[in-house]
Amino acid sequence: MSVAATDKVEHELEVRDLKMHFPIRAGLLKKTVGHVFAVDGVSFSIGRGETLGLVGESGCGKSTIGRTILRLYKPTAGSIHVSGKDITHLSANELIAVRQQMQMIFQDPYGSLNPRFRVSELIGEAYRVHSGDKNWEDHVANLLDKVGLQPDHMRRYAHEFSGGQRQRIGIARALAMSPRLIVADEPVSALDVSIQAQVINLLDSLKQEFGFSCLFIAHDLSVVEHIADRVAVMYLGKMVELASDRELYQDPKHPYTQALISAVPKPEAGAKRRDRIILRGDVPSPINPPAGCRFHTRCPLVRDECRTIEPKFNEISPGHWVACHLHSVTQA
Amino acid sequence: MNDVGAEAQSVETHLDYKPSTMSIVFKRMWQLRMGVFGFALVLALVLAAIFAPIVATHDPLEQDILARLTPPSFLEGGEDAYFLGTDQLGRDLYSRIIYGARISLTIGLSAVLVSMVIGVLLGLSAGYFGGKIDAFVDFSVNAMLAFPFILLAMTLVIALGASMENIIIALGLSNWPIFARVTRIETMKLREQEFVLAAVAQGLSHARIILKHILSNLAAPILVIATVEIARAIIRETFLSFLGLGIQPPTPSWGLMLAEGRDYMLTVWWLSTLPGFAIFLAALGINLVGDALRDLFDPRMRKG
Repeated sequence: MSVAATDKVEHELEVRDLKMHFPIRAGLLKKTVGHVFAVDGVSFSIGRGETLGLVGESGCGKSTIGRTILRLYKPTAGSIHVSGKDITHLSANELIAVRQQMQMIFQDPYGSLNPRFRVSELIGEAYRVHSGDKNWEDHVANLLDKVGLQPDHMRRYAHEFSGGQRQRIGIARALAMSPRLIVADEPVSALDVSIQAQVINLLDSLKQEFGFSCLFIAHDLSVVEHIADRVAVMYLGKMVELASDRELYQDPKHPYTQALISAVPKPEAGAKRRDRIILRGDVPSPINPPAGCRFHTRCPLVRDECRTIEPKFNEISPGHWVACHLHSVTQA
Repeated sequence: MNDVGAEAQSVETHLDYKPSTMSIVFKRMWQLRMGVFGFALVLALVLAAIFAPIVATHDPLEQDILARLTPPSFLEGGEDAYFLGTDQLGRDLYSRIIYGARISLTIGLSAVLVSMVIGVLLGLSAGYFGGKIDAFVDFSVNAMLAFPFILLAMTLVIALGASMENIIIALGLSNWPIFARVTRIETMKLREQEFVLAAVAQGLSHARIILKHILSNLAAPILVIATVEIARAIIRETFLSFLGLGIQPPTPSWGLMLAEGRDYMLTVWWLSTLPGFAIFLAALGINLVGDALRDLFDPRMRKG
């Protein structure tokens, strides 16, 4: 449902053919000896108020996408539009204004909060600096209340809180500027399972209240299932499948997505176990990715053409995109 | 019932056993006994410097030629009026050592402040921005460290002229690399932390991120280095003064007194020995405080 709807409304974020290659330097003269193809040609968009889940194994480039969108890195190629504005080539000074519209929630609830700052400073600094509001502490108190913490926590330091509470502080910090887009980079993967659900529910209700768009990065399909409207699956710097939440789970097309979904345990009692698809081998190195389809070294359904020809990212049914030779027939 | 209750109570008291507050304090003090000793030495030094006019018994420049080379009062031939004896011009040695503490502390603190400001700023920019700035700072640090320190300081003093300000400048300019080095490495480590990335993502300026977010995490290591460097600066001042390139007579400087006493070393040993002992105590005290600070800031370094 939301797929058709989001395509019509204005896009909060639009990414076209984004590439982020990191040079590998070696030797005395720091000569570039190769590149890590972290993100290699990815296109997608996020509608206003929509949440896109981005799933993939460690090292597939999903965090790099998140950070490149916020222009924490300078992209190698492609374009990034936020609220219709091209931010791909903005200078550091021009970015300061844009960055108030987009915020990030980090994975590590420990490393992402400065140990020397009080909570009021952690959450309110950017708001105070950008808005010049003298009553900024009221704003912080209000935010603490919104994320389920006490306003009198303001005077404490981050180390006085548990992992889940720290992540709430991180969420409050991201909300402080009332952003239109939030990149959540594996916000719950460092937390206990019992806390994960709480934090996801919190994000879900805040999304309803504040109406921001969200790129929700995770390595676990079951985490994304609850919060995302649409889900994108990445493999080795490429997007392999993109579909609405329901469609992806019920009718995955790409063999990699099928393998991932088969690994998600069913919670219902007495539910029939899905046939588990076990992938062989390891993810190839992003320094020297395989030719043709990047997944062909591990694909159970591999064909000859997969080894040489790279599959296009095709829309096989409305809103359902797949990059696989097995499904390119319908496109023709 | 009663038995069970008593047993539970005894278990409880056993679990509740806590060493008394006093014993914790004593244990902690024993662990830090050297730090406490050093702190006492430094405190005495600072008090002597501040209250020199009260603590001293004589004007440090007042000459009493008739009483020249009087031995300390506790030696044979000593006079009660001159506790540590007099020098070759009949000036009271004790008062001169007390006033010398002022010179040493002023130079030690100011010189370290100069090198700290230069070194920390260079280290922060090198570690944060990397690239050409980093290459330049790294090269400068290595070049400075390859150059014999005392030669550099001597050259600077000769070029600028010997005065207290110029000694401070010379010592400060020749000792910033150690601050730059530590700050640079620590900044490089901190720059990769997610909280720095978060600050960038929030649209905060580089200056704010460097001077607030990163520097706030560097206070401990910088303070520890600064403490130890104060002791080294004091020793270096005495060294320059001993060579005649530092404080000029008749100002009472420990290094100068050491040099002046050299001619009488064999017969009037206390003239050079006592200022030397003052230098030793000052440097020892400051170094012990530095060690204690390092232990306090870094629990991993704490000795069992």
